[in-house]
Amino acid sequence: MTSSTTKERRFHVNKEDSKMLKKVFWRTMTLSSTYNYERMQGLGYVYSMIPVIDRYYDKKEEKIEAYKRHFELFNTTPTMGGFITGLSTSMEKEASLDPKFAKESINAVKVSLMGPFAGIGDSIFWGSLRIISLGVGISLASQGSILGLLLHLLIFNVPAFLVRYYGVFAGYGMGSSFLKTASQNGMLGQITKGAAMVGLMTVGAMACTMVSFSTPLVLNIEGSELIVQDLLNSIFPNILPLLLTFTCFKLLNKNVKAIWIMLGLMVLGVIGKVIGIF
Amino acid sequence: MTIFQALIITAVVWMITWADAWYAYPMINTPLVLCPIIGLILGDLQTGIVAGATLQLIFLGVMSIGGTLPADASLGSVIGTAFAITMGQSIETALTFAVPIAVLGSMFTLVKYIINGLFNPYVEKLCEKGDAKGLERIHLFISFAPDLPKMIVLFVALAYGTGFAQGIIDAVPVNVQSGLDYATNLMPAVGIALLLRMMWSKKMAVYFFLGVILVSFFKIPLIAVACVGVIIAVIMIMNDKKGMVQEVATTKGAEEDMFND
Repeated sequence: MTSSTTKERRFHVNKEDSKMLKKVFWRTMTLSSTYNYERMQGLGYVYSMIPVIDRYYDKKEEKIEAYKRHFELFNTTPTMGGFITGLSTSMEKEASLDPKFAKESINAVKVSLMGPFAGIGDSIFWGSLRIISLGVGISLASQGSILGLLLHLLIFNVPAFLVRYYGVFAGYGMGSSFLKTASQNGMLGQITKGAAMVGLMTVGAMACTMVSFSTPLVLNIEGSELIVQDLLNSIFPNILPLLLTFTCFKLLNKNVKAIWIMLGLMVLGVIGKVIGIF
Repeated sequence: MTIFQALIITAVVWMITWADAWYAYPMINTPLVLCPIIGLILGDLQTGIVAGATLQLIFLGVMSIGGTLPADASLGSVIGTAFAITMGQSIETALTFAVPIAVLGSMFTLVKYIINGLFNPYVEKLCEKGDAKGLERIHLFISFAPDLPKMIVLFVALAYGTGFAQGIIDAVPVNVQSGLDYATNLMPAVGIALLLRMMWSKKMAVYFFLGVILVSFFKIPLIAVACVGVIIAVIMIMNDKKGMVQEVATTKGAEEDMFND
């Protein structure tokens, strides 16, 4: 595909196209709702492509071939799915116009893009934005404010909605060459890295503010009282929550299951209360 | 809790579970959102909100990526919160029930995925016939129906489980209860550690400590930490981009679009 046709496409989404792409947008959101181990989001993909197939193909056999083509294994982050369903839409359009079009390439492109897009989607939406929105929500809700819930939904969904919606149009308009370049020249990698960075900073902040771990312990050394928590604070504030978080992290890395660590913490809490160090 | 309330809660949870998957996971099927709704139905919104915050923190690291099976934070939180409110108990009661139920609940996700798969041969037949209407119908059907077993268990637990739960709570000594209460504050460390395991790399570790320093010494709120992070990320990407400006020149406009989003 040459760059001039790419441009032409980007700026010429007519009313009919727009109507169809909106349908694809609504349907793409449902990708994961019928997930299974064999085809993963395959059924969701067929569902997303039905308006496209029905619009571009007239012959029954062509439609059947297209339904079957899209009922194959597919898996990506549903929020990012629009880029790929949008792209499939433009490829189906081309395929319907050009009898020589290699239809296998439609699935080949899908499969080659689902990994990179899942990677970027997982790190931006699951790893970073989700943590920020839940973190802000939790800090308000723990004070009993319903605002926490509302802010969480807004912070997460406004950016996510824009990506879901414009992703379909972007995938349709930009064409396969663009998305392939983007995933090869490291642009997606850059964004993934940036998202991971923001996520890590937020997680660092949460380890300090949301784990509350302190001790009322007072030591009596030759008549003078030593408040242990003050001593710890003068070394580094939040040192106990941080140590606890890293201990859990180390245990997880040694393949200890999270549930056992949680049970361990429950036991620790009880023992600590009984001997009076918490 | 009356049977009617149990029925309402089950229906609402079912609807939210469905809507979360149908609308590309807008993060509504989470303790932070579910618990206040349970509170509202049972007439104690305040407890619901606070329980939501506490449980969300504990289940923060729980998420499904690429079809892995995480603990069912929603199921655990709903049942835990409902028990705590009906028994007039504190948040730590919600926690005591939420954690084990969430772990057992992951089984239902497995069952659901297997049931979903059973429809594959039928879907294939619909494709062969070119039956678009049929495909649409079956997609909608599978999106909610295989949750039925889980919803039955939820309803039974809510409607008939309170007495059983009360018995367990009564049997727990006071010392143990205050210990569990204390553990509620420690548990978020596990969730955060789970997140770290996913994100940690030696190269990026320094940013974790940047977050730590910003709140420990400068005491700035979480949202401000996130904003500082976004700004640093943009600076970093711009700097890296200078090096490969030739390559990206043709695609620059689109990248900016992504940022505006």
